Amino acid sequence: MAWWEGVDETRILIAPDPSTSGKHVGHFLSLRHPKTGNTTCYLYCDGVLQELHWFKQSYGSWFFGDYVCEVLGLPHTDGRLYTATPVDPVFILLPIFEEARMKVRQLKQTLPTLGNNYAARDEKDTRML
Amino acid sequence: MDGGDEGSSVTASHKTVELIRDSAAVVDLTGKVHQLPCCIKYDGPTSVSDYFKPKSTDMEVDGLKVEEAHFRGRKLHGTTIALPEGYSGFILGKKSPEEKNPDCWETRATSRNVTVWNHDDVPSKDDAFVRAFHWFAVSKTLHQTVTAEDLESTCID
Repeated sequence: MAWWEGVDETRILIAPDPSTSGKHVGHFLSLRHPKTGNTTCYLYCDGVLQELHWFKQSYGSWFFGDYVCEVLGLPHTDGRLYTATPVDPVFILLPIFEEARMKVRQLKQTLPTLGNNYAARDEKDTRML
Repeated sequence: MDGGDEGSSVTASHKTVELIRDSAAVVDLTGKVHQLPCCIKYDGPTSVSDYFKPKSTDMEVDGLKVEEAHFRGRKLHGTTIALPEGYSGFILGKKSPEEKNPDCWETRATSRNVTVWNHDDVPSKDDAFVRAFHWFAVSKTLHQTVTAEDLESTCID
């Protein structure tokens, strides 16, 4: 069976080798970008948080063995070169902690008894870290 | 009841990718992954290896070994870039939306290198695609764990 059997879309991703042979499931997480605050897609695999980047040129196509992949053209094609590289989670967490600390300060001034509740954050993806 | 549904839907709707290496289920395309400098208005299987036949040359530019090949009557110059140690190229496939688990990308093939082709110029270390690979070294320096020895060696006192 050819590798493209049953596949509707293809992508190329350069990522760290999984620690062992066999299947390793990576989860795409939506986290806040430490600089912009925008929701950004990260990859969490093998207990390592990785950031995703992509690179493309104006004109390009791929040969993957006996398969052609257009870089950008048809609606479902996306031949950008994606990379996943480990990122120190501290970069992601620091702005969140910083914001939480400011909240605590405000809360303590107005409602001293509620100060301990700041830890309950609504960002479910952050909890996976 | 609502809580239970939400819990499972969060898991099901989660986008995932299955990374696999050293498996019989995954095709090794090392040496067969080529970046072409043109748009090919097609996406899908075709007999690339029957017609696209890269040859090595004696030329070397900026330490990059130059290869040559022809595509649609035009001569291309290329170079094969080995992926950084500890990294692989994963060719991922997503199944049609009708099938279950539409948000899961599976590893279908892997590669240890990528061959980048230019039309007019021979490859050089200044090519944008070659420079894109600098990111791996930058990211490693930026994010690897700092050891006590690192701190000592950078200490100016």
